[in-house]
Amino acid sequence: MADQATFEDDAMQFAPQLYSAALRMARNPADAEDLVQETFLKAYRAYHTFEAGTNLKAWLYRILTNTYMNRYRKKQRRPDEVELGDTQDLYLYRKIGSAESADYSTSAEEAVLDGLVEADIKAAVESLPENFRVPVLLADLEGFAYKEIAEILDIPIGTVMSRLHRGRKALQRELYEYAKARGLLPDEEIAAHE
Amino acid sequence: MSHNCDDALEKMYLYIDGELTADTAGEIKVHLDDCPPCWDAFHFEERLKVVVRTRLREEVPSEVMVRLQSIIRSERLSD
Repeated sequence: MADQATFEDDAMQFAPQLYSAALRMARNPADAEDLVQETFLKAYRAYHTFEAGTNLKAWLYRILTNTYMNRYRKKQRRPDEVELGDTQDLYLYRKIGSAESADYSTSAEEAVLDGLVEADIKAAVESLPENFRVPVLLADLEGFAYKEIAEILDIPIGTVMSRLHRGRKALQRELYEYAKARGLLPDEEIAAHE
Repeated sequence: MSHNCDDALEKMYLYIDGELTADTAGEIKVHLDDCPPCWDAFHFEERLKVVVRTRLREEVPSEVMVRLQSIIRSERLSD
């Protein structure tokens, strides 16, 4: 059991990380702040149930994701479980490969990786349906292990893997569109002017 | 593309996410050292993961932290 008196010392250090994740969940600063505040209030009130010495960061993320799902699902028009169309593996990598000439090779990859700005990545992540977006955030932004993500979201580990896999492919499809719009794929750019 | 390439690509995310046993990861590493096309694909995905992580990270505004701390403190005082 954890002592409520030490909550601030123990938990506040995770607030900046939770805020980053909350922003990509709620998609705007005001709702993200609200979400983080509600998460920490709930965590404080339930802190006596937290087993000291276990994974506090994962425990906080579990409260964050549950709070997000409960609050924002109600607002969403789309159904809870959205399916994604099938996308081939290595989508972005292969698209770059097919757009580049033989001598470009790694420089075309660098151009895309360097040229995608924060706004592109954020918008691409935010475009994912939440049942894919949340696992991708937990893995790619937070670096949680699959087992931890399964516990945070209360879903089987196989579901974590498949959502992560499909979510990342869908993310790459979005990123490809941003890369194309920014003219980061040289041959495509030329083709567009022909 | 060899059987080894198929096998490596199938486990690519598990490898990148550090979810494989040391033995399996070692086998893939051996294949990557020996197969430039697979190495290039894995290397791209690893870099993309880093790009996504670093460009999603936000600075939390100091006033957000101040408000959060004051909410927790007033909750504690009301206990």
